[in-house]
Formats: sequence, C-alpha cells, structure tokens
Amino acid sequence: MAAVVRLDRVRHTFPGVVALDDVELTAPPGRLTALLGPSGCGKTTLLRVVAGHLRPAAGRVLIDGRDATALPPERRDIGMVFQSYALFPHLTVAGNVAFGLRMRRLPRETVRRRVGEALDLVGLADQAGRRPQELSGGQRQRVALARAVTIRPAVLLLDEPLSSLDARLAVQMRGELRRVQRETGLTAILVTHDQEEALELADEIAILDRGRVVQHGAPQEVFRAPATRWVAGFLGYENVLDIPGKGPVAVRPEHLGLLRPGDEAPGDAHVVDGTVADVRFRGTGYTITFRTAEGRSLVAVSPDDGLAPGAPARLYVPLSRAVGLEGRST
Amino acid sequence: MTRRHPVVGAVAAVALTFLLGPILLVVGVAFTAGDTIEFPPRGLSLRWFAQALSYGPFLEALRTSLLVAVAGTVLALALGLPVALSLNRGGARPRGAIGTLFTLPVVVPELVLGYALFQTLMVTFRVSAFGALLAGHTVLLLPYAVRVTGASLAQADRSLEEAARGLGAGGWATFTRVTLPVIGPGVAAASVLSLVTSFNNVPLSLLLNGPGTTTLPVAMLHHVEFAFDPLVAAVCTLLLVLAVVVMLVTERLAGFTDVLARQEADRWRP
Ligand SMILES: Nc1ncnc2c1ncn2[C@@H]1O[C@H](COP(=O)(O)OP(=O)(O)OP(=O)(O)O)[C@@H](O)[C@H]1O
Ligand SMILES: [Mg+2]
Repeated sequence: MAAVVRLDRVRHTFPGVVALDDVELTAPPGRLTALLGPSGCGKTTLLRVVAGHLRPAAGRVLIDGRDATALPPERRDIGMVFQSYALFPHLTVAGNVAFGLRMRRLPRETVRRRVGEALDLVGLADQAGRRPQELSGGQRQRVALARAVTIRPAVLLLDEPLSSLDARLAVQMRGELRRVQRETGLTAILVTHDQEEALELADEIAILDRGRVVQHGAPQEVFRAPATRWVAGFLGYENVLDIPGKGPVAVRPEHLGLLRPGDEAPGDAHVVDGTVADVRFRGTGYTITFRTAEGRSLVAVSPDDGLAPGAPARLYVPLSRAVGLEGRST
Repeated sequence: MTRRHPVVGAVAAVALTFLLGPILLVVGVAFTAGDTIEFPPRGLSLRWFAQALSYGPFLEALRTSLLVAVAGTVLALALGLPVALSLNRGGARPRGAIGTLFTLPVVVPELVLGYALFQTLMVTFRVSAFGALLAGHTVLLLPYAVRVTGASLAQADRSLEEAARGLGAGGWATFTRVTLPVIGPGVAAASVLSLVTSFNNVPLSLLLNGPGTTTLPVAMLHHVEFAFDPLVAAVCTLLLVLAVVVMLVTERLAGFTDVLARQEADRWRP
C-alpha cells in the first residue's frame, strides 16, 4: 500500500522567484519524511507538485517508480492535509470524511462503516453531525486528517498541520499524528518550520532553503552534523567561534557552559573569556549574551541569574558539542 | 462622538423630501376612490388596485417581464459562471482585457445597445422580437453575473477545490459538489440582482419592442402617455411592496449586502 515518492530534478518558478530549484528527494515507503525550512523556501509548492495541483516547469514526479508528473490529482491516490485544513463548509464532519469514499462510488454501507472507523481513529465519533465552523482548531485538524486517511491513500501529505494550534495542543497532536501514520503505515511527507516537531516526528528530515534540498538524512544525523553553516544556523547553532587547531565551530546556546570563579573547565573543553552583555528571563532560566575579548557575541542559557551586565565571565565549549564548520559551504 | 454640521442635516432633509415626497404622493394617489390623479385623494378605496390586478395589457406585460427576467437571468448565469471561473481559476487575468470586456456593457448607453441589437437582430437577421429582447437582457445582465459570482469565487478558499480533486473528484464533480455550494450566496445575489435589473429595464425593452413583447415598465409608460387615471399609481405601489419584500427575503437568505460589499471591496483592490 505504501508507495515511494521520488522527485527527479523538479524545478518550478513563479514570476521573479525560483520556488523549486532542481529538487531531488526520495520519500521512502511507510516512513515519515519531514520537510523543514524557513517561510517561503518552497515547502508548500513542493507538496502541491507531489499532489498534482501544480505542474512543475521541469523534472518528474515518480510514484512507485511510475511517472506521475502529468497525472491529475484525482488519479494519484494521495491524501493531503492542507495548511488551512480546507474542510468543506457546507458538509458535516461525517460528510467531509465521506467525500473521498463517495467519489470512489463505494456502497453506502461501506462508506458509513469507514467514516465511523476514521472518526474513531481521531477520536471524533461524537462530532460526526457538526459543521467544521462549529469545531475547535484541533478538532478541525483531526477531521482533515481523518478525511485524508480514510481513502487509504498510498501517500499522505501534511502541510504544517499543527502550525495554527496552541503550543500544548500542537504537542499533543504530534503524538496522534505519529500514531495514525504508524497504524496506517502510510508514506508521509510532513511540512513544518518547527524543528522540534520535525525531529520528534520524522524518520527522515529534508532541509529546504530557497527551493533547494540542502540536507537530507536521519534526524540525529542532520541535527548533530549540519551540512552547511546555513543549516547549522537554522537548526539553532547560534554561536560561531574559533577554536585553535579546530577552526570555526558552531555551538548551541544550551551547550555553552558557564564557569564560576574557582571552577575548573572539564578536560576536553575550550575556554572563552568575556563580559556579560545582556540577561533575559526565559521561563526555565535565563538567556545570557556575552561579548568575548575578540568582540564576538555568544549566547548561552543559565538556570540562575547571578550575573549582571558588565560582569566578567568565563565560558567553556565541550569539544564534543562543537560542530566544525571548516570546509563546509555557507 | 462626531457632531454633524447643521448644513449636512439640512441637505439630507431636502434630499429625503425630494426622494420620498413624490413616492409618498404616488402611494397616496393609488388609494383614491376618484377617477383622476389628485392629491389629497378623493376618498379612500382599493378599487385601483383591483383594477390594476385585472387589467389585461398589464397582466400580459407582467408575464413578459417575468419571463424575460427569469430566462435572461438563467442565460446570463449559464454564460457568466464559466467566464467567472476562467477569470478566477483559469489563466485569464480578471483585470486584463477579457475581464474588462465582460464589464463593458455597463458603460455602453443602453439606448445605443438596444438600437444596435434592434438593427442587427430584428432588422438584419429577422430574429423575433422576443428573441431579441431576451438576447438584449442577457447581454445587459452578463456583467452582473460575472462580477458578483466572480467576487464570490475570488473570496472562496482555492484549497477547497484542490482538496476535492485530491479526494478523487474530477473537474465536474468538484464544481457541482464543492465550488457551487461554496459560492451559493454569490450565485443567489447575482440572480436577484439580475432579476431586478431586467425587471426595471426600460431602454432595451423599449427598443426591442414588438407584438406580445411589451414589458411591464414599457406598458406603464404607454399607459401614462394617454390616460390620466390612477391605475399606474396603483401598479407603482404594488411594485414598491414587491421591491421591499425581495430585499428583505434576499437579505435573510444570502447576506446580499455582504456580497455586494465584498464585490465593491474587490473592485478597489490594487
Ligand atoms: N501561486 C503563486 N504565485 C506566485 N508566487 C508564488 C505562488 N505560490 C508560491 N509562490 C512563491 O514561491 C515561493 C515558495 O512559496 P511556498 O508557498 O512554497 O513557501 P513555503 O515554504 O510553503 O512557505 P511558508 O512556510 O510561509 O508556508 C515564495 O517565494 C512564494 O512567494
Ligand atoms: Mg506553506
């Protein structure tokens, strides 16, 4: 049932923008591939090409090895959850979920049974008779998900399905999304610009920048070894500094250690001297900005605020946490 | 709170008097028991209403008016919806040449349009008067159909249609099961607007006139040329009531003003 989706040098331009720049990407069967990238980098455009709503200017879309580039959307067997949910306002929840089944001219009894199953899957069996406008954001998202999976598509596309939910609901829905994808065993492509969401949900991550896939791999691999300076910056490696013998490295704020007077730095660490430039409260602790002797700005997080702007400070960088940037492209 | 300048109030009062005054006068005259147009009415009665509702020429003209209004609206929508679709969903640009073309009849003086249709259709091609009248009204209504349904289409979330396609609906099924229900209020508003526009039209109906194709406004016009009885005043009063009913019903059903306001907003969008 699950299919392989492959994009073969897919290119698309809108007036003045190269939205997809020779994209090569394979979404393996039965796995969840996350597309991660900043706003406007071409994520939605890529999904619309896969779903068949947009015909690419060049390149091919292969589904299970077959060229689907010219296939209309209704013949691709792809379910999609839209960024805006796109629920039909004139139909009830059940009517929305039934839509794809009725288009397949399934017997009435079968439609009813499968709508029931789909609504059970997303925990909305009691909302079947309501209109989308009467539902909360999280409920709408689940209806959209049920509608997309009930046609048992070969591929499921999800366009930032959690972006309009509040933080707590988004985290809760992540689990449900993962469960539904596992239970149905679909090939899924999830678009997001939330790296935490991508790391948590995905089997594979592809990072998109200005229409190009700049890195593609397992979450740990991508996270621990960003391929370019840009990816490092995008994934939260905010600090760039020079370590003698290692060259320029990138470090995440939470990996910078703070040394109290009299403390010893751990063995394999590089020590930097500087002054505190700014202290900001961030709930679980403080974000502290330092200025080093060479004039670089470094950001660290600290659980307490025993520091005042202007105070001298010592930082250390565990070498194992420093991602070398030498030889990587920008 | 803003205070209005006293002149504004005065101008409004004068304008209202000039607008409403004559109308109230006509309504008053319609209730007269006498035989001529005079105000104040000579006694009160409903006899002119009874007369109007049984006056053969007016009844036949009403039948023609309704027939032309309904058929013209159906035709204008049948032609206008595909145009609106291609302007808003196809490749054509709404504010490009084609978009302008479909709004053009609005600025062409209707007498010119009517005379041109009279010459080409009736004189040159010997089309029947009813055929020419219907063609004229369809051309007149087309811009309304294109504009109002187009505004609804522009407003509707395009991903709804993409969702339908993705769920297996072909182009036609997507149109009938998703697009049409979603733009329903716009289609209803376009219908009412077209019906009213056609029903009120004089210039076209006057020029495309022939045996058995006199519309109600034209019949009324002919009547007042020769008669001084309050018959037309009674018809006017009935038409006023009808207009108010249509407005109220539409407002209830489709949020008419909302659709029109959106169309207006659309027109001024850069
Ligand atoms: N229909 C369109 N017409 C013109 N330009 C478009 C169109 N759709 C997208 N673009 C442009 O193509 C680029 C990629 O857009 P896309 O919607 O794919 O971005 P995205 O990665 O989904 O962004 P976001 O995270 O904000 O949703 C952008 O520069 C956008 O302005
Ligand atoms: Mg997007």
